[in-house]
Amino acid sequence: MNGDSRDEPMFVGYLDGMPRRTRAAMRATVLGVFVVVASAAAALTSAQLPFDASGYDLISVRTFEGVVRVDPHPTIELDVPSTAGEIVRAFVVNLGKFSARGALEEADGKRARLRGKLVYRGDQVMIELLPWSVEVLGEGESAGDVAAASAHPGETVEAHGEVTLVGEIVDSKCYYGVMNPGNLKPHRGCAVRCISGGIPPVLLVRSEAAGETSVRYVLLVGPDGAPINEAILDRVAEPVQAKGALERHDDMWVLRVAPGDITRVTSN
Amino acid sequence: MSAHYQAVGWNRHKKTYDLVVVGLVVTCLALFVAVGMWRVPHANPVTLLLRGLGVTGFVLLHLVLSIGPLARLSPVFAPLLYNRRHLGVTMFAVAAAHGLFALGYYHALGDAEPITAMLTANGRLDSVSQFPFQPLGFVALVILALMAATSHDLWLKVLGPRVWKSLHMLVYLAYALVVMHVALGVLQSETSPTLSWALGGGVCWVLGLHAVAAMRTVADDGHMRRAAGSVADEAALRTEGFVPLFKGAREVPTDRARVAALPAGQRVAVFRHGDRLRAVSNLCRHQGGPLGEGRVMDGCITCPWHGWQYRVEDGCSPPPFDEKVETYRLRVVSDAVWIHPTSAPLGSTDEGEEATL
Repeated sequence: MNGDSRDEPMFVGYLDGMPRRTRAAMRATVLGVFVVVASAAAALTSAQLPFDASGYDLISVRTFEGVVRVDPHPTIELDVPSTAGEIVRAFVVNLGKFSARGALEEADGKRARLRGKLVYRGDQVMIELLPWSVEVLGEGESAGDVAAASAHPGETVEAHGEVTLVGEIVDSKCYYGVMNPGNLKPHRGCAVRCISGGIPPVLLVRSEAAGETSVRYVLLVGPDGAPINEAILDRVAEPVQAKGALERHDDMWVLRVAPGDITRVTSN
Repeated sequence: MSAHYQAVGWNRHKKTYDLVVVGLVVTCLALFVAVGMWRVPHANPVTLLLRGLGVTGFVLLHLVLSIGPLARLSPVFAPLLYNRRHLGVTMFAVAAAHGLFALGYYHALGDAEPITAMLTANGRLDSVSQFPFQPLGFVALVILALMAATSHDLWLKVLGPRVWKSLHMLVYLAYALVVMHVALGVLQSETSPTLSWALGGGVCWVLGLHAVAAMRTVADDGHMRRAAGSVADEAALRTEGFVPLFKGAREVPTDRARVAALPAGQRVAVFRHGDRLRAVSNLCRHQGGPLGEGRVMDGCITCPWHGWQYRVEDGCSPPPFDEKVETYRLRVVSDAVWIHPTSAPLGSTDEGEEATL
């Protein structure tokens, strides 16, 4: 027997009572365990990276109107401009991890009214479409200059030349607010399924200036402007560099990039 | 050890134990979420709950693994062992909640079945930092599920003590997998050294505690065998097949035991009851508890873990129970205890050996 008074009776669980010394030791042990567990819980939750401000209106369903585009990923050009007077284009996605392309194809290029839940992060806006809520209102407007061969009528496109961007590919739905955090390795499994299901893949590019971190969200499309979701699934949620042609489509950054020009920068 | 199975009785000790376990779960989970929300009011409560369940389950796993060696180091910790299976099943329930929650949150509602999605989403087997961590947790959860499902004594009877014990020793594999799940998962995205220190501290605690308990056992065994080898009629005893066990037959306390190891490694408990010494296997037939750390109560060797009993004279549980532990022949010469390393037939009533008082 190790380390206990031999005069003490033995603790037997199915018998009443507990030896005095054992009882005292148990009280101290239980108290100590509670202190350690409580301290660990408080310390570990405090050690997490801070949560970014983002949102997902889980309960509130709103009505939106504007011109719908389904290529390369479904968007709606909202009637309400941003505070800076820019056109606000919001991605439109389906429930779960799926694109809303099927639900919006009939409304492509036309004004439509739809209902959905708002997902937002900073100046990025997304709408999670409520099933069977799309109502085509009429033809879309085609005013304005066309700055690129593949631009939609009425869309302003600025070319920013060939660039190499370093960042992380995220699924826009989760990162914009459905989940928080919606990036990095623990989120990879979710991001892969989202992007595989047609959610727009966005390259998250962070830059530091004067002690401030700014984030640019860059939609990734192929050199021809078509979606490249399936081709980049193995490089999601880890540091990558992407070399391609950067463009500004109204309020949205777009990188035309061949999937082979997106390479990992992760070391083992 | 009953011949007929009955529902587990919730005696006072078990009720107290379960209340403490529930209190620990609630304290850990509530503090993790509440402090997290207080620190960052716009934090995602779903994420905090998911992480809190993981933290709580991992903390409980550390407690489960600490109880065995603590009870070996001092019998004052024996009450922690008495209802350890409830702690283990609770730990599994919390871990399962974490796993199912994560499966639904991250891997459901997509274009692949959730478990398939979880197992196949990350193919980076070529990288340490990017290695898929979810499957590690999944395998650990499967092991813990098997353990929880077979924790009832009915399964001990069905599987037999050896298979049952081997199955439940897989908890160490599950622990290793969970450590890797954490190290290759959340630690690859979080930056605070507190998290790494906490994980390292937990691993060191578990390993250190087991190492100390094991070293103490090995040191005691070695000391006893060396001391016993110096008696005069060593040659005659060896001819009969006896081997030295320890010196100090008179020092074995009444109704308690001294534990020593046979040359092949099995540990035996030499009990003193009245003026006689008796040797039995140190392994309780229930869950492999250390019989030698128990006592003789009402003429029966009583296991310190759950109170299972065996008669001193033949190693059989008293009727109506039918469990038996191995017994061994002993000789006491010049205060040294010698043992025949081949156990006697189960249930045989050896005369034992009278201690010199």
